[in-house]
Amino acid sequence: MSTVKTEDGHFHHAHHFNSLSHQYDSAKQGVWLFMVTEILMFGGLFVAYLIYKSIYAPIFHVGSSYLDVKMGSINTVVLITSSFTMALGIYFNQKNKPKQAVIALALTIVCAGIFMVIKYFEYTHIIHRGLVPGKFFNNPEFQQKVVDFISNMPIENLTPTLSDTAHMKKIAPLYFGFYFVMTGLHGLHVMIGAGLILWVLIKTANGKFGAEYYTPVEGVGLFWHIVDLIWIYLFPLLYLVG
Amino acid sequence: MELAIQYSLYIISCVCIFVPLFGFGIAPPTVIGTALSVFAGNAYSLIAQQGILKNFIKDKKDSGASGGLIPILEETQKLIDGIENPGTAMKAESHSHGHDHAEGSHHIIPIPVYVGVLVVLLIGTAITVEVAQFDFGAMNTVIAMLVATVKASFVLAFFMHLKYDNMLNRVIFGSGFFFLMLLIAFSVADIFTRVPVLKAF
Amino acid sequence: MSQVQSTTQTTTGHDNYLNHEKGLWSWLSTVDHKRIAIMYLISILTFFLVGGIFALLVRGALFNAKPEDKFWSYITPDVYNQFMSYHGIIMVFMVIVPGIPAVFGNFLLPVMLGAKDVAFPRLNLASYYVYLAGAALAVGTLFVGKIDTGWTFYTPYSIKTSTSVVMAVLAAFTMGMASILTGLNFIVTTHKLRAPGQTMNKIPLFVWAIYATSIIQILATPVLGITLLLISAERLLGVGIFDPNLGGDPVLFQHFFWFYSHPAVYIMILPAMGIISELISTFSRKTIFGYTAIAYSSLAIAAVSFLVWGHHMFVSGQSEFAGVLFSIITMLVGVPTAIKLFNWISTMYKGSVRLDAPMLYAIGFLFLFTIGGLTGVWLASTGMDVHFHDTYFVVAHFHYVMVGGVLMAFTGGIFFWFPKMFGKMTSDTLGRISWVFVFTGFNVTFFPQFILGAMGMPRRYFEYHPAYEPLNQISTVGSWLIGFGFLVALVAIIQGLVAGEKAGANPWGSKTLEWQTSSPPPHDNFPITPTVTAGPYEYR
Repeated sequence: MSTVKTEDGHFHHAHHFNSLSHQYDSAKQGVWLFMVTEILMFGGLFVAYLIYKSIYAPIFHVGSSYLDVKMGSINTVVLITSSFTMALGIYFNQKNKPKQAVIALALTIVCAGIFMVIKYFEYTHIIHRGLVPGKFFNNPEFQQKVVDFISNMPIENLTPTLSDTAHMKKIAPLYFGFYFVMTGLHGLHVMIGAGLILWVLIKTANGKFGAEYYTPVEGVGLFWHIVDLIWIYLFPLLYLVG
Repeated sequence: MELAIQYSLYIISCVCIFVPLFGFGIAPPTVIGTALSVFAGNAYSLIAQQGILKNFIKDKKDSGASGGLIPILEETQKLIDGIENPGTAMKAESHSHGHDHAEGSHHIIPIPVYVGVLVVLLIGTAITVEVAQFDFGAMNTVIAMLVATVKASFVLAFFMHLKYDNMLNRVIFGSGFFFLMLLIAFSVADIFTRVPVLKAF
Repeated sequence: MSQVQSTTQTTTGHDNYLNHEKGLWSWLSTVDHKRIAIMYLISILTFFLVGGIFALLVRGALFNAKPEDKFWSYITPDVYNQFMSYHGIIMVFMVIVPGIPAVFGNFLLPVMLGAKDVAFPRLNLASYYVYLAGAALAVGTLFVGKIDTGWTFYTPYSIKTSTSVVMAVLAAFTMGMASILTGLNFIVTTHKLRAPGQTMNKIPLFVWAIYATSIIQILATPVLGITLLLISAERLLGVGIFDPNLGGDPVLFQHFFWFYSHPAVYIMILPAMGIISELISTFSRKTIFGYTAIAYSSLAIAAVSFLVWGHHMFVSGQSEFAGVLFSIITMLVGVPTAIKLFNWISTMYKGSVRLDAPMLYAIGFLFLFTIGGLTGVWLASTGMDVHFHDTYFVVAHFHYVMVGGVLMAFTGGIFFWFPKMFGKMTSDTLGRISWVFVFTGFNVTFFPQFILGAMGMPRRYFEYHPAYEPLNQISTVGSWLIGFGFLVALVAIIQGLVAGEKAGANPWGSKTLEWQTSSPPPHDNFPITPTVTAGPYEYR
């Protein structure tokens, strides 16, 4: 690390910066720029999702009924709480209280763990029902439900694509393609975030941070909040608005 | 003075070029809007960060002028100082003096505020789930996204500190969102004018 | 007045970044932006050589129209598709997109700003290794299953083909990651590490160009990232997002792909324009005309470049409404570019022009980029594009801007900044000879391609109608001239490294900050941090 607590208890900034404050601001700006890239990356997925939802609305409507809203809500609460504990982790570092900071960061990791466990159960539940994209798809009941839903729609709302029931049956698994890619990529980010928080936790426990220097905690915190942010959008889109 | 000439000449030439093209209605406003916002941003940064307004006021006062516009200009300068540095007095983006002054970015948010935001977010989640029980037709997605955006702004403002951060970080984040909207807008412009799209069940 | 109030200058035998530490490991583990730039230079030149060999193979294969006459029987239509794909992939992702920002941006940005290093030096080194990892993956596909989709990876073929598409898109993803990290570094450096007294209105135009480029890199590359990940998901899981059989829309792939790839071409050209600003100003010994206009036009190009991607898709099946929209906006993106061109020409007017090798390259840029840019406007017109799309007209257009534009600027930049980077002068004669061959060869290669395209010859075709053969043969001979020209440039560089005469701090008499420190610069760039009091181009 470029800034290390020395014996005299002071932090030193890297030589190309003017001061610790200068370094802190620059580091923060760098992390924000990286967060913009994360938003655009997930944003691309959201764009594709919104477009296909408009074209194939019945598939997305029936598909979202196969997701467990309760599990999703719990996950949302878990992530929001983890965001809170992460903010606390930064707060305690700002106040030179490493012990409380370690507890807060540990709680954040615990929340991330709970999220992944619930996600695991959701996934196995869905996969066991054969609702996977591609050639392993095996749930004719889902396909039939889509067709039934379409046939119950008022005829003036039907588009030519939707009227082609054979085609709609074939492409029904598209919804779960989106589900797995979007939640999978998000879950990957949760795991990466948990790893980063662990790294920062260890450094906090070793006394590497203090009120003058807590930049890595703040940076990891920003990343974790973005992960939470993405889930705040993902949850209603996938689970609720069907 | 030369700045005013520079800016007004550019704007006049933009308008003169684009008035004939106004029939199309989309691109010229975009380009003009971009140009104007770039100029506005530059003007703002010149005032806020390079202190041209401050220097102008100082020059006027040094040469003995008083009254008239000066109080108004001073108020504007104070306002901009307030925007740039909530809670601190001076700001200089250039490092010409090298001294370390406290910046707004070190502002520490007290725990009760965090708890309050947490409560708001949890209530927001409950609202999200509750609102989803009702069917607003084509507005379903829009309403869900609006609620999500409100929750997101709380996370951004408080947990991610943006409310107390400097303007540039907010601009950086906002630009990410803006360009995402561009991607959505233009892709939708193609898809929705080509593929039959369902508006309601 | 130079930009700096006072600085100490030493030139010979001093401690500089090249001899600051010795040994291979000190290079591989360096966080000095100048050394990282040199490492990038070596890698990029190597990949340029490989991509160039593929180009020569492609042009060689196109010398004859009929398959039985081709010069090498190993080249079947499938093999030809592979050669042209690799030429594209290597040149786009491994040479031109990283090119100028990675080499000159890394070396010069901190020095031009009066800083000691970029904002995040270790991230800089990491970017380099990420880039190498991506390049290794890309080269690896040569052994696992050669790509034949073209560098654009269009669906549905890229989903169905049995070649190693997943590995190739992951390679591009990785290199995109390096691009993002570099852009991030440069933006924070420009915002935060300027020397005292250096406002945004006093930074050199090259820095403005790199700044605008970095903004594009941050905003556009992630969308490419997700697109490539989706291709992988499509191939591995059968998600069905781009496959019509599974409900997908192949045109959506093109939307996502070109949302990055069009701004990408501006990532390629903006730094080149930055170099040209520096070259023209220095070799005309005159203040650049319209500094503010050029600076803001860089930002304008960056912004508008995000609004025009559909002009690659006029005949792909997108709606007419979208077509008209993109066509109009594309015509507008020529305006800031033209502003720059007029300003450069105005800079030369009544200046004291010296036609050294770098200036020849800069003037060559003006000529070739104008042709490339104007033909771009023709392609922006939907009606004309219906005829020109996927013909050699498009190929000629983008080679004019990418080779005639970016590569001319790159080579000019190498000759210009060589003394600064290595402390030695290159032979000006060799530089001029290389220019003659590159410039002439380039026009001989690519001008006939405009005519071929207008005559209707499709691109990416291995076997073509014999009526097109004479022009193709001229084009191939031109490619040999270009190859020879770049070979001479390489000889000039090597000769300069080995036996070049020692260079002073400012052999060209330029006014920007990098020339106010010794050649090569010391480890920390400046003996004392400079204070900037004047603009960067004040020659009088």
